[in-house]
Amino acid sequence: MIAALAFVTFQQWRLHKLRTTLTIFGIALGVAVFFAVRTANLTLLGSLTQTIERLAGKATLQIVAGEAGLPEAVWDTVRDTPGVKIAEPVIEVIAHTAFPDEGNLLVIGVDMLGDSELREYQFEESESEIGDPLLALAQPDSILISRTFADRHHLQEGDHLPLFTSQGRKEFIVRGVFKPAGIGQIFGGQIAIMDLFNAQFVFNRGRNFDRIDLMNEPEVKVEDLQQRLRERLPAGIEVQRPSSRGEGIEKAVSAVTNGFLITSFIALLVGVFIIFNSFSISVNQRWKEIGILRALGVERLNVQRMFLGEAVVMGLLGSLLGVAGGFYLAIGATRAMNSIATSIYGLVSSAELPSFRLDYAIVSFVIGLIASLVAAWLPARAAAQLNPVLALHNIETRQREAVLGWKRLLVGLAMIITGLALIRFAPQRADMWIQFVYAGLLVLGMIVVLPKLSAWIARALRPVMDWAFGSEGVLAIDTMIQSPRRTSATVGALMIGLSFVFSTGAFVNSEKRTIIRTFDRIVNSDLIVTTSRAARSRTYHFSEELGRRIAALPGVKRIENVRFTFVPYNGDTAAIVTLEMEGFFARVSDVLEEGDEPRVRELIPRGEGFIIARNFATRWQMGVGDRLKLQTPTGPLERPVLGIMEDYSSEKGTIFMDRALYKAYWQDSAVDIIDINLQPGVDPAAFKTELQRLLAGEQRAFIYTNQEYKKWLLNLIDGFFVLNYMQMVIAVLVAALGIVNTLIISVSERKREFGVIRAIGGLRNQLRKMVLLEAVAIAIVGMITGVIAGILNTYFLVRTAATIIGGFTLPFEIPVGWILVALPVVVVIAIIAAWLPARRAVNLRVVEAIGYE
Amino acid sequence: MKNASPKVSLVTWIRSVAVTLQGLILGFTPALPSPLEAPAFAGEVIQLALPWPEMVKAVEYRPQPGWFRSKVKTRLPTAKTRLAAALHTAPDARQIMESVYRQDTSRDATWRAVMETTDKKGTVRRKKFVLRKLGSLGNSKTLVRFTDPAEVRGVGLLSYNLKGAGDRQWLYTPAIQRTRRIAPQERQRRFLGTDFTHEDMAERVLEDFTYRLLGEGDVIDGRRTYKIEARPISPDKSQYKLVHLWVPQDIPYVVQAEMYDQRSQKVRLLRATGLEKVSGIWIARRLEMSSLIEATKTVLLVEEIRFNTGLKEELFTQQALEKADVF
Repeated sequence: MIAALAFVTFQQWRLHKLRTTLTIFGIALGVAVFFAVRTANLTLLGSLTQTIERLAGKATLQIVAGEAGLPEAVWDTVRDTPGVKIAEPVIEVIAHTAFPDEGNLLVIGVDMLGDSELREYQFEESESEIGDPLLALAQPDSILISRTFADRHHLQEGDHLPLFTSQGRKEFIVRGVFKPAGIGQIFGGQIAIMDLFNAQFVFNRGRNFDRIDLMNEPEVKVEDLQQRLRERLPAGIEVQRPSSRGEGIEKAVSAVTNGFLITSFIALLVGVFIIFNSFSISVNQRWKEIGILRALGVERLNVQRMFLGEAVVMGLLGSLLGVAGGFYLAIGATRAMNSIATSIYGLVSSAELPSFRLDYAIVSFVIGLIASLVAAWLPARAAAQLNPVLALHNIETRQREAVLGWKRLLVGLAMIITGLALIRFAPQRADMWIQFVYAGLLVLGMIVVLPKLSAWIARALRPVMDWAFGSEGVLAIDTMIQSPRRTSATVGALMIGLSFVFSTGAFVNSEKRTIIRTFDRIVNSDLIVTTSRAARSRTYHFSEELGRRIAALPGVKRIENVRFTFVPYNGDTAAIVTLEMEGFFARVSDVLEEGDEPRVRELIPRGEGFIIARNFATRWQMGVGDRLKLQTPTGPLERPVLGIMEDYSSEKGTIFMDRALYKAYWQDSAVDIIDINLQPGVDPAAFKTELQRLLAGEQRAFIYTNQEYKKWLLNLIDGFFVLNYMQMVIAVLVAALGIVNTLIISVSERKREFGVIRAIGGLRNQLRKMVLLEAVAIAIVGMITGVIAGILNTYFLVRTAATIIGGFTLPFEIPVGWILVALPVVVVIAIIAAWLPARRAVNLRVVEAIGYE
Repeated sequence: MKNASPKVSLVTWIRSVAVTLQGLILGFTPALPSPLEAPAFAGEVIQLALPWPEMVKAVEYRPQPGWFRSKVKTRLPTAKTRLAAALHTAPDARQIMESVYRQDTSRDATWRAVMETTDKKGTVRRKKFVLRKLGSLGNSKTLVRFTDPAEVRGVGLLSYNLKGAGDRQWLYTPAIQRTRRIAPQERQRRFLGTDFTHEDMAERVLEDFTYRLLGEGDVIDGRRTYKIEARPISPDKSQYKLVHLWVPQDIPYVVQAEMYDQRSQKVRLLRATGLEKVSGIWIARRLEMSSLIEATKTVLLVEEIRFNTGLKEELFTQQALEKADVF
């Protein structure tokens, strides 16, 4: 029996090659995105972890204190702690060469006299030593480079290597070349080593280190030593295992990885829709065949098995293709993730090719299979429950009631209302996965009400189609109305895809608008000088000397040195923005959302309090008047929260304080951004040109006028959402596949109708128009339902997802612009998608078509 | 307090240069510290003719902890007579080495020397330095200041080897005006690119080894020698399995040493030449350490030595270290 049913299925595939192919492709696409994202995620984290491990060498513990680093005195304390065998400080800088390509170079500052005890270096002159260590120590221009980097730039011992440092461009002398092994493999070999103190000197680290790596005496347990060090060091200094540092970094990039994860789930969801769509179509198409099978005595269970078996085979094929394709997709995704990790988070990772993970492949494969089965379940069940007598008659009419029932509508509405209520009233700090259930309720609710909603919209469209396209328009919309079962799935796929486009668009718009509003109010300096093309560099900073030089230039009214860094806070991290607050208050009015503004303006410049960002307040449940305690490398710093302001600098939440206060506690004078305020009448563009000329070839700095900076910021946001834009394209593409699917079956089912139309004098063009207009009708209904679902999703994104990812609550807005742009695009795509089915309809032979049953 | 990692110092090393001067190669290491506690008699003892007995049997000496120090301290007045007698009758490896260790009696010393390192390509790097030392073995302070070439001029290395406080070293680099504390190193690692390892530089004492007289050694620079085998008391704390030492029969000084690794492979060869006596203390003017596997070598040439010039404590502080112009 099963073999016979399999044969029937196989015949169906043979007859409907395109639909079968598209369905398999739909599964493959979903699985591919899922697999690619997981693989890329793993590759990124693996690369970061590997970098950490290679950099950590044999270290069993690491001492860290946020990005600002540790004061030197900590080194002595650590070294003198019983049980510490070796303790070696490290400074890491992603510097830029002054070669024409301005390539990145990871410069590691280590104690050349002791570090080789901890890390593996293999020099070419001998296995473990550089030629003249004393010379390398004595001269701050000494640098050791990897063989990979040396070959890339044709450098050898004694050659000059120009680098941009915090003190401007410096010529370093290559004192040794190390082999591409151990530490030489990090960052794709773009790595150099300098003496620790020389690195401190040229990269303006003051008397700080980034961290201290240490190794315990063999007879002392790591946990005991960890505890002993914690007791000896100030609370702001963390003693952790290198592996925990990997976890910390994983946490730091969680916004990216979560974003990717959401992408992959959406891709899977759309994939499920395609399968559901395809199987619904298949069942619809085969009502009569099913009726015959049932009439011949095939049991319900076997009919269901036939469809589920088909789903399994398609799922297998699609998942296989998906895993294979996903691996190649992962290459691109890995690059994108690496780029984000390096540019936005300043993390050091090698842009490695993803490695094929069998466990992920199996998981993806199984997910693809389960998704296929789940998606095929309802159509298969419908097929199994089919009454054979009715099956040989007009099935659509019978089925319509079930699909369009009021009970169903009420259930759907209840789900939507529950979802909205949860988003509005449930606690914002609930678990991420619980919060995704809210979105799930919205989507499911929309799916459940979709047939009824589509029917209403289609009816409302009927007069419009009549007016616009005449009888062909009416016939097209009627066809759609009469076959809700066939079209609902396509409309659903379109709805899901478009809702994603609209909600993402609205989310990005809302974020941009909010950021620009804050920007206009707060970042109103005439010129902004930054250390990096990205928002900032974690490792490369200016010295205050640069600010002094700029301040001394004619035309400058005032400059502010801004430090933007991250510090440990409550087991997580928080952003800190410090600047000369007096200057900041002088140019910004109305800073606060909450708090006593005059008091804040008086106390903050004196270092007597903090201002916190709204998202920090939300994240840590803090308000004005609460006392905020920060653990700094020199001891605890506790001040009252004097105000809350709108700020989107970091998804971790930002604390603002006066620069003098920060410098005193963190002993860090580094500068990330210099705000320049010009005298009245000085042209910012002309001043920028002059400043560029002054710094050319001497200081790596990016100078923006206020307008340019704003534009750059918007581009940065776009860059961050580039993946989401890619998702939109995929979603629309998938929806277009749904239209092709639906119309192919529509044409197939209506062969007789088309034959009759042709027989009574209907023109080929009229048939073509009918098919194309049906596509247009599906597109419009999909658009309208997509807009509704998009608005619901937008509400979820701005209220809940933004909070999950960044702790932000963004204002809700309807993506009018996106809708206006999407409407013609979707219609055109629908017409293109309908072209092939329309051609089939046109090319039908009348006699054959009339005879079709 | 930090543990018992090998005592290391550039200072010690440079001092070993001075080696020459001192009975440098006390024990077997070329860089072994000077026998700063050596009693006055040592200088005289070495002037004695040390006849080589016909029937020398290898003698193995295994000291008990604290034995040597207590013996030396309590029996100093008669030591000369005892040692001379011992050497005349049945030379004892331990006694020979003891005389080597004890021959330097200075309170302070100042050296001017040149160090030449030759890599496997034949490239020679030359550096000059001044070394000042104050104190005695196990309780000394040393300041080394590089004077040439210009790139390293002013670099200073301060080393404390104080009783009960362990070793501490600081390096000062004038280009960035920073002083750093130097961490302990792995014993087999080369010291600052020279052919001396950190173990070679470590401050060893007589009791760290067992000694065995192997017989009469080669005639070196016209001098008849004793050949002595030294084995570390704690093999796990040494890169060497054993060292062969050549001590002239008429001078308490190691003129040649061969170092064998744990696989009994000869890895290093030390030669001390140009022996002379300055202020009653034997020194070598030239010291050459060759790494036999890597085919590299380091030569130390002592240009000038002065003992007991009255160096002050103030010269051996971190403040003094940071005065790069003081040579």
